[in-house]
Amino acid sequence: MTYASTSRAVAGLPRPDLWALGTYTVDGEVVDLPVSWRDVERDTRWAARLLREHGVGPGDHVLVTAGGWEAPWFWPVAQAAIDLGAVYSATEVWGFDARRCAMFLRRLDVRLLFGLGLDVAEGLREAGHLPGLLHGVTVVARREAVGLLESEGLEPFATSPLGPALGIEGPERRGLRVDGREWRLDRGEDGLRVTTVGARAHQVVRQPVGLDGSVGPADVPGRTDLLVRLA
Amino acid sequence: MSRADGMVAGRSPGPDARPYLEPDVETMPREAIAREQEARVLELVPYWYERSALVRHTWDAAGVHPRDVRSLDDFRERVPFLDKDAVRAFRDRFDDPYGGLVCVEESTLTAVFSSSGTTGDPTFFPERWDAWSPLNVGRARALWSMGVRPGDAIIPSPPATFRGPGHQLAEMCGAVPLVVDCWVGNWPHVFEVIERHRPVYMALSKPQLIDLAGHAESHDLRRIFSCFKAVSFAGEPLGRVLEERMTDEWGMDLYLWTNTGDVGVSFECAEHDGCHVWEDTVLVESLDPDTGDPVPDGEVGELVVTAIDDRVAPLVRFRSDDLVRFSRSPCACGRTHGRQWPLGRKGDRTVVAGRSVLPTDVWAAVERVPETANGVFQIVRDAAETDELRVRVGYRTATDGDLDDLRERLEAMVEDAVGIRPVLELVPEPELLRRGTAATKTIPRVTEE
Repeated sequence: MTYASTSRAVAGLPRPDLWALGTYTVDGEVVDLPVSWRDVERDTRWAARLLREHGVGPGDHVLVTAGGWEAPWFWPVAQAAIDLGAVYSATEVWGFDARRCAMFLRRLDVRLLFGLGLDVAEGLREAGHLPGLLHGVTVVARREAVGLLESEGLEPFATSPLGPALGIEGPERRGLRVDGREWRLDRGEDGLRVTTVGARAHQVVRQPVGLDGSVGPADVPGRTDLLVRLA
Repeated sequence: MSRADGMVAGRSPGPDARPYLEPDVETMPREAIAREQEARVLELVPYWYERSALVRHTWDAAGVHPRDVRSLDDFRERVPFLDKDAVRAFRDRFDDPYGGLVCVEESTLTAVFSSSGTTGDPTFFPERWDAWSPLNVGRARALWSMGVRPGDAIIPSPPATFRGPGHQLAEMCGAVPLVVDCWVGNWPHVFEVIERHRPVYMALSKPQLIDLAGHAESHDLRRIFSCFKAVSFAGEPLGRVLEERMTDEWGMDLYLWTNTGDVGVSFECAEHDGCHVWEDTVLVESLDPDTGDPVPDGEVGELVVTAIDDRVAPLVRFRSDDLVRFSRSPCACGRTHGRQWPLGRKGDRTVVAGRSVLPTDVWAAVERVPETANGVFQIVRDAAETDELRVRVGYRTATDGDLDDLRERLEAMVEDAVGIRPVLELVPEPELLRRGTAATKTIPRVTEE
């Protein structure tokens, strides 16, 4: 019976190759983003290496601020935290949930806050929680929230979806790192473009990202990451 | 440009006609459920006392020791209650974020989620997973009963993640989660995804439904939702008008669900007559909210729950503050687990000039007036006992005509329903909805301001 029995009951069910199907927008058009089980497993391993570089380890608390629809980008980070033995918590991206985000930060010893966006950051600031509640917390914020946090005296790292890919700034603070075994980015006339290079369910060729910047190798020993510096 | 048209459709491995995900569990005889519950409780009593600081603190204060509990009757007669205030008080007094509930090493936790904060300071739900959040146990059984099968596409939950990742529910069922932003304002995008991938299930909340109703004239919702086997709804009472629109007008097979006192979830079955409580995971008592005495089967009582499948942070004789009707009578679906019919929060009862009023009493009146048919309202009070019934009601901003006429009709309707002439404050509906502060953006139905 119970959790164990239900887990057994579902264990034998056939499962499709697709782990999830999300969407994102390219030039105003909605594009499907299929993600296979193998995709998400590789993305999780990549995210785990970055979280480890940020100092996340067993027993740490990692708070992820993301919407359920952002799972193709952000769930690998949450799963990576779990795989590293950290404790995962979740709050929403909407400003009205800043109160709960503050509660997690106040009551738990959060080691890393991932995905903090502008709405919640503004909510935290309006409630007088910045910079106090984020003292000692490694903050990996969405790029649109970085400026606000810096104006409050904080030193956040950045993260951003780049089309179907995810960029996460490493502790070296040089720009967004992207998994070079999965994606290639280059700069076209209209900004950054992304191409799938891994064996992913979602294959794109030089698809516009909607952002501009420069691309180069991350030059991190033992890694094939790309380094993206957004304009 | 990559498209995944057809990737989801066509992946179903074929129909699986089994009506139950776990037939042996879901239809086990009542006597077996009772035996199993007693065995589980007696096994856990010393564990709770030894591992849960809040349980030990509460039992010691009441002079109760595990050796005093030798039967389920002993448990019901002697073990003191817990409630959310007790958890918060322990949390604050002993600087324990989990309120003394956690029975395992904190470092072995997988995840910590929290309540939405609709009714006050949120409290934590610490969890340990094998593969999935335990909350999905009841959900998986329910989705199977609705006809969700491996290969189906589903939109697994409202877009919030505060009670755990929604995509896990699809994983458990072998389904493909369509992870789309279906929050307020995004219905045109969701329609597009539905048309393309024809999901069979979607979970909805009140703010989403109110937003959806705004598209009813410009879109053929019956056609768009024709691929669905089921749509679920929870969060607060739905209201008769909106329920009829969903079922009759938009053709949805609607399954209501509710929390089981923060221990799990309860879903309707195809009979749509009460939400099944999974009694292999929770021991349920329905008690008189004032005296604490058991109420007869099917009568209104406060839901009191004990988690018997949670060794991480179990709630033991936890007063949920939820007023329900609870019955262990047989259900036509064949499931033997009891059913609850949620009625509202005990703390939301307001005594007005000696008369007890619940938000559900006001609801039916408010939604009968076309301009306020979405049932967006709050009872405003500064104490549980008041002299007048103050109600803040949200009206459709497209409303023509004067508000005095609306006020008069609403006053008459509420008075007819609850026997008290209300004092009304009329507010544009979007403005009132913006006052929601919980993770679900639900407005509190009773408020001090």
